[in-house]
Amino acid sequence: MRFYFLFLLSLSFHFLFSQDYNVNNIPKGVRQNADAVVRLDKMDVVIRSKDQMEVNSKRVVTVFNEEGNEHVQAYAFYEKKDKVSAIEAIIYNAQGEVIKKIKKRDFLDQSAIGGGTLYSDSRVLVMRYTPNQYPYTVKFTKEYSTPNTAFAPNWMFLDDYRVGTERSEFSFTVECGIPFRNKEENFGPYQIETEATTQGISYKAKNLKALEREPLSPAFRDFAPQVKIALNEFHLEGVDGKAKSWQELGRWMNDELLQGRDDLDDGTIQYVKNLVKGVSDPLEKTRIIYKYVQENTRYISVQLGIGGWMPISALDVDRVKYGDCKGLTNYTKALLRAVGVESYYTVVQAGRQMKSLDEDFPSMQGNHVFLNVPLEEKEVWLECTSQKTPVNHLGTFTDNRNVLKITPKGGELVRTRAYSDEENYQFTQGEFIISEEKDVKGKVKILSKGSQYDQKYWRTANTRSEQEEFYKSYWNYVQNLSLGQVKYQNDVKNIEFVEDVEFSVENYLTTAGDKLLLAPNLSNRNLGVPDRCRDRKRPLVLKRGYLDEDEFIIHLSAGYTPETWVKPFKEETKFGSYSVAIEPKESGVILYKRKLLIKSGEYSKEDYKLYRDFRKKVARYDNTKIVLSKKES
Amino acid sequence: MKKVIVLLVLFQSISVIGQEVYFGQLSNFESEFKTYEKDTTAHAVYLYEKGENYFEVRRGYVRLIKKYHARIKILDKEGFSEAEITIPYYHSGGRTEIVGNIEGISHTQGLKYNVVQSTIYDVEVNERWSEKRFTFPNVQVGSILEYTYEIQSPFFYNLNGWAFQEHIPKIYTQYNAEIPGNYIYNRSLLGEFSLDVNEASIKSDCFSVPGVGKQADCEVLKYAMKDVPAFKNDEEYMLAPSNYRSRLEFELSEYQGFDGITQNFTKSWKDVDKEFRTDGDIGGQLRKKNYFERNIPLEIISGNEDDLVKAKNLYNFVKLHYTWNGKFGIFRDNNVKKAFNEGTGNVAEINITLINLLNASGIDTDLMVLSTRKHGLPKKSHPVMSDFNYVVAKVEIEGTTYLLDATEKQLPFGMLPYRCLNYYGRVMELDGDSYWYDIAPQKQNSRAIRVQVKLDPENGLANGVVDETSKGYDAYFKRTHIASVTEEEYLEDIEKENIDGFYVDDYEIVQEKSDEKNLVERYSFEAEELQPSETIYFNPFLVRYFKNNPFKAETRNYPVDFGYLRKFNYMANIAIPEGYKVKELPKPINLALPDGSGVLRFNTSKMKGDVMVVFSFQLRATQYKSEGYQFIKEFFGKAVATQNQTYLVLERE
Repeated sequence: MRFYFLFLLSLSFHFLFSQDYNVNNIPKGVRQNADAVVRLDKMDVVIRSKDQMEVNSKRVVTVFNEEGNEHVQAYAFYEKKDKVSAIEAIIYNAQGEVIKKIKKRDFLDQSAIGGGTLYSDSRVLVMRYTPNQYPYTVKFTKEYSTPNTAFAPNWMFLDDYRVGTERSEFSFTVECGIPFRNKEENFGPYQIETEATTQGISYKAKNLKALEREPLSPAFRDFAPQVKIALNEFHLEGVDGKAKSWQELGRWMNDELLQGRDDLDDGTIQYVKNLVKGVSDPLEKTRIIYKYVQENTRYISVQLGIGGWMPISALDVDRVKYGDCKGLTNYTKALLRAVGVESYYTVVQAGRQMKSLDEDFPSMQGNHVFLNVPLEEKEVWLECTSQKTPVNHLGTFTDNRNVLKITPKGGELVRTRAYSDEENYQFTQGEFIISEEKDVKGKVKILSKGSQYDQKYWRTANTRSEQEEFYKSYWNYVQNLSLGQVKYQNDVKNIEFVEDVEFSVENYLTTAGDKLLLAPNLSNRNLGVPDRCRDRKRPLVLKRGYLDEDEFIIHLSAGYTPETWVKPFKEETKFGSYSVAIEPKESGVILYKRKLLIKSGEYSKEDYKLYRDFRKKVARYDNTKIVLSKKES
Repeated sequence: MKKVIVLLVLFQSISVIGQEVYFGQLSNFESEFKTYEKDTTAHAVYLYEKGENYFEVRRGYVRLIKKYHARIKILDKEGFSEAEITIPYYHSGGRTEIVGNIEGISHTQGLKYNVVQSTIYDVEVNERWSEKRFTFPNVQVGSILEYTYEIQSPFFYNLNGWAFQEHIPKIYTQYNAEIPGNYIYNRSLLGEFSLDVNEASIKSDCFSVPGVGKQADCEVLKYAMKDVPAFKNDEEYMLAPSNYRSRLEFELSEYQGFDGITQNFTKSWKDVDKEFRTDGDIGGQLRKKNYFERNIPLEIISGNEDDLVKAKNLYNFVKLHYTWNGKFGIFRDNNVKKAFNEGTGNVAEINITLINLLNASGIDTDLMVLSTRKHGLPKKSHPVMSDFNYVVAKVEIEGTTYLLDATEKQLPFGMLPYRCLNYYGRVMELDGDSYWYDIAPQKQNSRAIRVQVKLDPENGLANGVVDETSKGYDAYFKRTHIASVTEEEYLEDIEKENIDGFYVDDYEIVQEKSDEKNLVERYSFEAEELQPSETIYFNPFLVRYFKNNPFKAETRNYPVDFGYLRKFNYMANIAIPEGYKVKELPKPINLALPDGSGVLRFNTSKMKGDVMVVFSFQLRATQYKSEGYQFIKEFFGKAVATQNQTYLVLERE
């Protein structure tokens, strides 16, 4: 009888658990504003030895609408030496009843070659399922092992915007005694249980609310709770490594991945020595070698095994004249050494986000490499994958962040240069002639520097139709624009770009009765106003500032004069300043002057509305029309 | 003197083409080639390209052999992407094509650099396709990249022709085929260019199979084009580029075996019809009437309502039951029973379900195959089944024909999604002969907007109420939009679509006036539109049909195709604010496209204390030839200018 009772109890207990995935069991706060809720995300990582990591994971996600589908994440990337021992998905309906089971053989096994890559041996197993009802729930389990322990998994307790987390559990265990490091970030307002054991560490979190996306806010990773993990000794595609400090990690990269890969044959050495014959200035030598690399190589990415981290040898690049960022950087370094200029292979997290390598958490980070040339008077940076980037132009791709310079003595974390707001400069000079009362003939000269240079210098290769497309969308507030002659000057030495553009516009002016309306800003309106944000929660971030100056000379059609002079307008805010003025120049000619400065920085959440108001004002004044009336003579 | 020049030119081009071309050996013309005068914007150009298709016995099996040889001149750095070569090959049912003899050379500055075999990679893309990938060494501006390969194929239907025109120009491109008389292929030449070389001859006793005494004669074909320009895509509103790209298409139609047995592939519509009835993926799937009778709520099909009501109920039932998985899937992998059980299916499965259901309820329904706008127009000369990629239902009720597609939740009964508005399809009857049928898009598509405006000169504001009625495709697109976003996002989208500083409040859908083809919306707004001064310049277009002219290019290569007729009516009633009077009204506009295929009207008038503004924009044809492009561009330009640049002038009394 006692047995019977127990049996019943355990049965009902079990019953309760299998019902767990009913969507009604999700706490209300977690579900609010969510496209998907992670019901459970559990991962157990065990390091059996330096070259064996086993990962066991179970992830249950309830999806409420189409936007939520991407958060299911039922896939497994794998490399040649990895072993995915188990992978399975079960789909539940809203009541938590099973509607489909997807076994390993039903997963799509395909190559994971991304754009821009000729070949890589990465593959991915992807679940195939088209949801036919919302909400639905997917339980996805996978087990895999890999000899590569260089990238211990990091853990995010929140996935993304509009995704809530009901339970998130992560454990990391090292069975072989290798020391490891962990770093907890943005735990701030969250209650996350941490338990350290002799062999590892584990975390548990419950009921994390979904966050709304907000324009111009910090990057998600800068405020979402997460844990970083790294092993002090690791294994990567057949090579053992160490990384207690950036110095040590850099040393390892130098010794294991770079050393001996920068040899060149005598012919090439002689050839480049001839190129710099008679030149003693190291900067000039650098320019010559970099130009040679830009003119003779191109970017092709091939990622095979350790080749994902080790550059192909300079000899090979010299032969085929192509390579990925590692290969081309290493090749340039070898050529520079041949002419007596020392340079350093440097690892960076490239991209507009301006993400630094974590100063106090040395581990395998970064997604790109480029070259550092330390000259006496200044440090010079070379982007070796581009055939157009000038010497020492960093641009938004690699500016203002911590990067890892690899020297024979070890790694060194340094910061790349930042461009000040005023250095991201654009100056537009225009002359517009109004003819036939309403048509305009114009020419502008646009000078760009800094990050504004970045947006333009590659455009020299544009075809005529690409130019048409570009200017018609840059000036999309001007209808009936016909593009005339376009000339580009790319001054790579001073890193300045000049566009000389001629155009004509039919019917630019508007008649209103016997008056004409003219919007004097033809060539640089900043009309973008950030979206309204009803209940702003996070600070306002302006990643990069800029300065635009404009001067337009406008020849009015004969007999017309401005009816009212618009008063000069000036606004100073903490986000920058804006001023615009129209003044008479000579009879029938007016001068329009405008200046817009946007200051980069982090501002309070309350400032968002003020910033929006500022941009609205800018947009409004940029659109302003003046009234022209016929002079009574 | 003039004659001599012509002769010389002729002589030169003959010498280019006339001689045998050996791999790795450039002609003088090629090694001295510098610029391509005919298209100075080209980044690269094919100097020479040749394909050869023939049949051969390899290891005891007949195989289709496809040889390829090309020389590409790199004209500038943007052309470097041409150095990345991808050779796709097909596998299915345990059999695979084999790519062999890949060789590549870059001819750079007078030297030859070989592609090393170990840098040729093999990539499995998906279950049916793999690729060989490689790139050339030492590519510089001016390099000539030459490569060749051979595909051995067990799939005879993969002899499918030749693309004369691609994204870069070709100076000379040639296609040779040697086809034994016992293989018969349908062929069609598409695009605007004609062949410069068009030779066909018979070579006797050219093909035999081991163990069979007979020999077959071969048809020897040689087709070539010279100076084929790069194919350029147009911008907005266009049918599939493939309708216009120059190419030769082959489709296997018949195979006569040496044993005397003839195997028919596609030949005439009669054959297709016969095949269709027995095909498991389409015809077979249409005969699941009994299954559906057993598996759907009986009341939907057995009710006493008239056929139209019944058909609509069934249509809505299928729409609701299924979620479309985004695939078309017409000739392959269809299983309506499984799809029905799972509630997910491709276009064919969903619409075949619908056809089955309609037939089960006694409403005679046929299947129509068609091609989507992106897929191109099907050839009418002979059946090419791969021209079709979509299936819809065709039903006739009380003398009216309806084409139905149940894949889109918001689509009203009798309308097809925009992707299907591609002029015609073929109706496949289960019992009779198939026939062409024209797709007639819904005619009433419009947005009609009525605005009541009050001006508040003191605060520089305009506010009022907008009533908007959308019909046909306009209503369908709006409903789809509304269903995909939150209300707040939708309102923000309205705000962005209109003038800057336009804010929407109190939005509602007027349900009692809306049905599936009509959507009536009502909202109030506030606009920061006025510049306060003695004289008010007020643009009465608070809501705009379009802000910018979609036609920006100076010229157009292919017809403009709108898919369906369009109409936009805007009416505004502006109350003249106290203390102000009308100083001047804009001039009326009355503009028509040639043949009345488009009308633009604009008029303002004063009525008591109000100014009335009436604007109407109408397209009365779905397609406009490229020769008429300037008219269309101007017509749209005028409509945009009228909306953006019209001002009423009000003056303080």
